[in-house]
Amino acid sequence: MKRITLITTGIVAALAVGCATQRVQRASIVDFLYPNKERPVETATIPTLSLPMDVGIVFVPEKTPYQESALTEKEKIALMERVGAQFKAYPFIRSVNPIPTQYLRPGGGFPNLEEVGTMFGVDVIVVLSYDQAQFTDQHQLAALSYWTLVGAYVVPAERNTTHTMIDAAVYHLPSHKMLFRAPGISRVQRNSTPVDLVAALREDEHQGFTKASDDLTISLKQQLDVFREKARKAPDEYKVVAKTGYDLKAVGELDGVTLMLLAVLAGATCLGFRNQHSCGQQGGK
Amino acid sequence: MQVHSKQRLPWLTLAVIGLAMVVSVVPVLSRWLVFDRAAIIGGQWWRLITGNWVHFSADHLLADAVAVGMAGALIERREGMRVFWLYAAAAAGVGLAVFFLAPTVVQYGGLSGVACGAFGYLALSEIKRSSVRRWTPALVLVLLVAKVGWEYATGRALFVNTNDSMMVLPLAHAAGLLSGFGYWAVLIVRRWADAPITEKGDVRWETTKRCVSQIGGAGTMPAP
Repeated sequence: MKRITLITTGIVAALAVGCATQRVQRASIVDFLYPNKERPVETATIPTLSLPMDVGIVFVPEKTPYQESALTEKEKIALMERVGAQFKAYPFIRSVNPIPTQYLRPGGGFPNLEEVGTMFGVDVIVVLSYDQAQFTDQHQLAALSYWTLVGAYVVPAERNTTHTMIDAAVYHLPSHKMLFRAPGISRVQRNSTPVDLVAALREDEHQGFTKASDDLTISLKQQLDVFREKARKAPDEYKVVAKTGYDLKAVGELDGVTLMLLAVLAGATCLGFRNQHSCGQQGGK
Repeated sequence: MQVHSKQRLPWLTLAVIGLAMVVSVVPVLSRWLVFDRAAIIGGQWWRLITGNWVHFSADHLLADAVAVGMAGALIERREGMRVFWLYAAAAAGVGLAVFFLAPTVVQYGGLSGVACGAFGYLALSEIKRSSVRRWTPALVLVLLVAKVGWEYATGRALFVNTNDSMMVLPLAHAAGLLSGFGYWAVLIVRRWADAPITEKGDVRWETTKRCVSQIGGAGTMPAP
């Protein structure tokens, strides 16, 4: 009797502790740009932004080419188009090109980005990377129902939490300088039964990316506005020039000679007024 | 031409200049009113006209405000609130010209096109009105047309320095000037059409006959 009690207590204790699992998927921008853990070289060059800009958007490839990706190519293109729409709204952006991930090598770094930049004719590139972590732990008491087998089908005692971050880093290719970055963050939390666990995690994975991309578009717009103001007000940080055949800002401005001519005309007109009035007064008398 | 001597202050011209000043100190207004090609294509058509009221620097605003103030005030003193139509015609003319004839221009701002329109109209009105000192407005107009024409032909401003991201657009001055001429021509035609038939006969017919005789067909047209 004492032995049975001991075994039961042990099982209950083991269940109470429960088990937790963790799953991480990532495509890291640091792994891609600096694959050999080399230290980025700081150069004191001022990036020359030729406006209107041609912008490319890429997704950092996964570290190993055959690693299962959290996002399909179709989903990546859809996200790149959403990001691209934010850029297209600005007059200083001429074109936005989503570039398929197949054009990039894992750990290709800036040489790879420059190749792609030349290929697609872009001078600024948006590098999208992601990091998603999923945690599953069990509700300690509800998990006891799993011993009934039916409980494993009907009791949602698996607590799943999915944290997703999509990061958009905008680089000026000729100078390798990061112009700005914008993050998109999401957290999805819900329960599932052990039987539905895999499907639920996959669904959370998609929901996490959708919410993070929504967040990304908002923060990207904010960062674009901040960058535009910064580029306008800090000429020592960014040099802005017009591409051949483009006039960024045209103004109607009158010079001193025109104003002088106008002053002569105004003088003559005033003289005419005076004569007219004096003639009128004389006529009246 | 009617002289509105009771009207002391050129309210409309002051409002035009005042609006430009307000827009300059409120950045949100500048963003919403500036001529922005992408936004116009996206449906914000008002920017075609309101872009004229946006200025990119204090110097820019000062020069344009002085020009509009001088020309506009004189026209308004003489013609009253009818000067509104001149401003409207010049602003629309400049906006449409920049949009259709300068497709590489991303953003445009400035009242100088409108000022040129007022300048041209004032000069033509003075030539027509003044019999004694006609040569002064005529000479000024010839010089202005020559300058604007040269700038338009060469694509660069004669006396204004430009930088990499901002340039003076001679097309705007040419379009403004032509709008002023067009407005003057419309008024002349309207006055001709509205002229009353007096005891001396149809004034319109007399005017036409005088014009034809000046061209070289004197005495060839029989009276109706």
